[in-house]
This record gives sequence, C-alpha cells and structure tokens, in this order.
Amino acid sequence: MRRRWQALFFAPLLGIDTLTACDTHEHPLQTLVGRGYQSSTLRQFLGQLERIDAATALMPALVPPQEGQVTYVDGHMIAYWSRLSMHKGKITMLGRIMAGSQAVIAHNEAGHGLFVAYHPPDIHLSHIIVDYCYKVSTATGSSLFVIDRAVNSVAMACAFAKQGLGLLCMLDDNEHAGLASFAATEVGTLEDGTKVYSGPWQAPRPEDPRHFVIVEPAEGKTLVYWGTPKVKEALETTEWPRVYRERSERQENGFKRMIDHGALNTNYGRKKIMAPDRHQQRAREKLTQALEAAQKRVDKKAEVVKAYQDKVVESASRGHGKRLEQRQRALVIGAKELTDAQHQHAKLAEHASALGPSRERAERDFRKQTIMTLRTLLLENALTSFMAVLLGVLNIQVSLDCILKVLFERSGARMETDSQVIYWVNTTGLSVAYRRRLTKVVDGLGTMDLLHQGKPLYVRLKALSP
Amino acid sequence: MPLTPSKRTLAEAVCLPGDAGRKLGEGETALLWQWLHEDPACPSRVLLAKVAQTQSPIAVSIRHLNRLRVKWKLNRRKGRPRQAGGSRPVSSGAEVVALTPHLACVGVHLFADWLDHQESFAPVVARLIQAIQAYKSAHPDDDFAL
Repeated sequence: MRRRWQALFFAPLLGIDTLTACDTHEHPLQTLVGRGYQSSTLRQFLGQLERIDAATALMPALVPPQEGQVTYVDGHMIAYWSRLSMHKGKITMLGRIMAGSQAVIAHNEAGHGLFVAYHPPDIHLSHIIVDYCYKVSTATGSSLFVIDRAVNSVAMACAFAKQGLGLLCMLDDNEHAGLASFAATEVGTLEDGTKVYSGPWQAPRPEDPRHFVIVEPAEGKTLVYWGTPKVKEALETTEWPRVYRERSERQENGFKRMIDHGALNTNYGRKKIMAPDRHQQRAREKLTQALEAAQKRVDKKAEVVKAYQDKVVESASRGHGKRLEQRQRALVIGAKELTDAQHQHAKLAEHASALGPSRERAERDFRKQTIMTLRTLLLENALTSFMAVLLGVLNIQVSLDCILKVLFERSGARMETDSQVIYWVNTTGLSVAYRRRLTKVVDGLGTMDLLHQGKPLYVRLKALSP
Repeated sequence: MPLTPSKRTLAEAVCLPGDAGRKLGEGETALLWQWLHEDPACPSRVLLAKVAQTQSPIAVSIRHLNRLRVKWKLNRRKGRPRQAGGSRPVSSGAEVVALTPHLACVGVHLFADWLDHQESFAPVVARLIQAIQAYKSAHPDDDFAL
C-alpha cells in the first residue's frame, strides 16, 4: 500500500498527470518506489481509497504540528468536460462558463496546505465559506481567516463574528469614497512610505461590525481592508495590509505552482450523481418573483382603469365637458398601461412555461478528486519543507521552480555500494549560470547529510558529451 | 600419442609439473600452482613479489608465469586487475550493490530519499491503515483488497 501511495504521490513530479500516463510515459517508478505500476493498478487503488473515505482519514495529515495564527482561504475552479448536462460556473483560468469543480483550499502563513473541500461550480463561495472556515478552525485551531473580495459583505462579517471567527477582507472600490468615508486616524507608515489609517465609517452604521484600515498611496487608488472584531483583537492594524498581501503568494501563486507540478487541474474520477437542475430552479424562482410582481402591476393597473372608467361614466352623467375629455384621455393611457402590463405578464408566463417540468443535471462525485488534491497538497507541503531545508544550507536564493527544472527533471545515474549511495546528475545542456547554480545546490545537498536506508548519500555532477 | 601441454587437464598439469619448464623443479611449480589456486585473480607481479620473498627464490620470469597460468587455466582477463569478486572499482573500494547507469528524474529520487529519512509517509500510511480497519469492521462481508 505504501508503494502505491508513493506512486500516486510522486506521479506529478515524473510528468504523470492522469493515471493513464503510467501506461505510456517512460517513468522511473521502478527505481523510485521499487516497483513500476500500470494505470489499472493505481486506478483500482484509488477506487479502494475512495471506498474507505481516505480523504477524511488523510485530511489531518495536512495539519502541521505547530498551530498557525492566520489561515488563507480561496476557491479554485477546475474545468471539466462531459457530454452530460452539468452544473456550470465561471472557470477563471479559461474565462469560460462551463462544467467544472470548485476546490476551496486553505493555507497557513507558511504556505502549507491545510484543508480542501470540493463544491459544484455554480455554488458561490459566500454560501459555503462559513461552514468551511468553521471546519478548518476545528481542525487546525486557527480562527483568523484571510479571504478575497468574493466574501466582501456586512452579512459575511456578521456571520463570521457570530461563529467566533475572524475575517480579514477588502472593500470594493465602489463602496467608499476614499479616506473621507471613514473617521480614520493615522496609525503608521508602510516601508514604501505609504501612510496607513484606521477607523470606522464616518457616518455611524450600527449594524456593521467591521473595522477598517485604509492605505492611501501617493498615486493610485485607495485600498481599504476590513476586519471583524476578532481580527482587530489579534492583529495590529498596521499589519493588516501585509497579511492580506501575502494571500497572493500563499494562494494564487500556490495554485499556479500546484497546477504546474502538482497536477492540480487534472480531473480524477468520472462518476456522476444526478441532482435537481439548480440553474432551472434559479431561473424558475426568478421568473416566479417577476410574475408575482407583474401580476401585482396588472392588478394595480386594472384598478386604475376601473377607477377612470367610473369617473368617465360619472362625468358623462353629470354632463362635464372638459373634465370628461381629461378623464377619457387618462382612461386611454391607463388602458394602454394595463395592456402593456398584461402583455409583460403573458410574456413572463410564457417564459415560465417554456422552462418545462423540473429537470436534472449531473454532478461530479468528488471523492477521488478530493483524495488526489490532498495528494497534491501533501506533495506541495513536502516540497516546501524540502526547499526550506535546502535554502537553509545554501547561500544563494533559488526558487522551487528552478530546483524542479535543474535538479528534479534531469537524468543521471545511481550507484549503491554496501556503504554509500552516489547519484550523478547530468549537466548536459545547462548554461554556465545554471551549471554554477546546480553546483551550489549539489554542494548544499552534500551538507544536508542525506541518507538512504542508513547509508550516506552523495551527489555529483556528470557532464555527458552531447 | 603425446599430449601437447595446452591440452593437458589441470590434474595432469599438477602431476607433471616438471614438464612445464625446464628451469623449474617439481616443488617450485607446485608452490606456484598452490598460490594461484588460493587466489586465481592475483596479478602475476604480486605473485612474483611473493616468489621473491621466499627463502630460496624461484627463477621464473613474468612471461613464464603467464604461460603457466594459461596452461593451468588460472589466467586473468586482459586489463587492469579487478577487486575481489570481479566488481567495478569505486572510490571507497566498496562492493557495488546496485548500479543504474541511466536514471530519469534524479532529483525526485533524492527528494524521495529525503522524505524517507524524514519518515514523511509514516503518518499517511498509519492513517490509511486505520481507515482500512474501520472500513473492514463496518463492512465485515465486503471483499476488500487493500
């Protein structure tokens, strides 16, 4: 079982995104985990993991021993292609509205993945986020959350405060008119010289529990961060901009990295569940509301017409001249408005009937997908830890992407003796600068005291003739 | 029909050491044969050094020794002398257990070794085993392959 899990774990680093690639790809699983696997074996293993609900069992393995203060949460949409009618959402990276799945992923301050849950793409983050954050808080002990503007609302701030959770978010630009909207006082200056202000709304809003931090740069738009009372208690207001800005590196760039070398965007499992068509339900609800409003308008217009008709009859019986004329004109206008309202109502009724009987749409069974995303997060966490150790012994700055390119993806040779293990890394094709960098990395690896089954492990560079 | 020396068996060679060379006596030839049998891969120069250390040095050249080795089928392959067991020489002189001359994704192997050393897979495997046990106890009649 350990070997099969390792095969799934290392697969993305070996260029195996979908499991079928195991059958076609020239991969070193044999030397890496001691056995080569075909996709059928790994697919069967994934099915078994699905049966035992491995996602729930493995989720705590993501949580590091030391408790973090802040948790970053963001949703990531993954496109899905199917011939079945499925629920749709906006797949940000493709810029299309299509079927897919929404992974809601939590990271801590160190960039370690903590939690993942999948939701259908048509469910907005704001509908699920409070429950999600409550679960994360229970699992990790961290109760401060940083989320992007997808959850920006007073209602959301109140919901978080009610659950005893802290939320740091940003206001939309159209919700304020700069510093003038707030009763703010200067609290500090950022490294770039930008002044930071803090305070509540200028005009008191008793129903709004949020506190605001305003960053007003010399040029460009004013940025307004908001936090619930719990955030205000736990974090210095001058820290809010920095903490929020780190969201990009922890999450947005984290997702990009996981797409590149963790197969985050790969779909696993094709099982589907039929569910009521929520798009149709929403359209029907909207039309029902519009029909109700149209009916009210028709009734109102009918009353007006009836009133004018009575008035016209009255004027005719009393022998009014000019007033009769005025009332007749008003009756004509009223009658036209009634016809329009009736027409609008008929049109809406037609649309409502065109929706037809309640339909169903397919929904993905996310169990396999969740297990594989967990695998991706575990892999990313392991890579982050490895990089932290490696950077600790190097005196140069080198990115994970660079390490993946110049060390992980390169070929070489391996020799194991009874007392040591030696790896040679081929340097063919490396530029002088990258060769120099790889030399330093290899030197660094030498100081990490790597071991293989108790034997010391050495790494050497090897130049091959082209 | 007289047999040529090259066609003689090893046993015959031992029985007729005097025929091997006119300069060597029976005892001297037997001594050389014994040394070579104890260490068939021993380089001839090392053997000559041994000969030189004996109380009564044997008058034998390296060429003569090599001819004898061919005859007794105790000669080595061409090339530099190998380590014991015929394994390739390594810097530490240790025995090679496994050699992979072409290995894809070297860094991933290093990373895997680092993870193994950190015992990173142990918690995951332990949790999976727990989940399997829980599943088995909840579904005792299920056929479960894990």
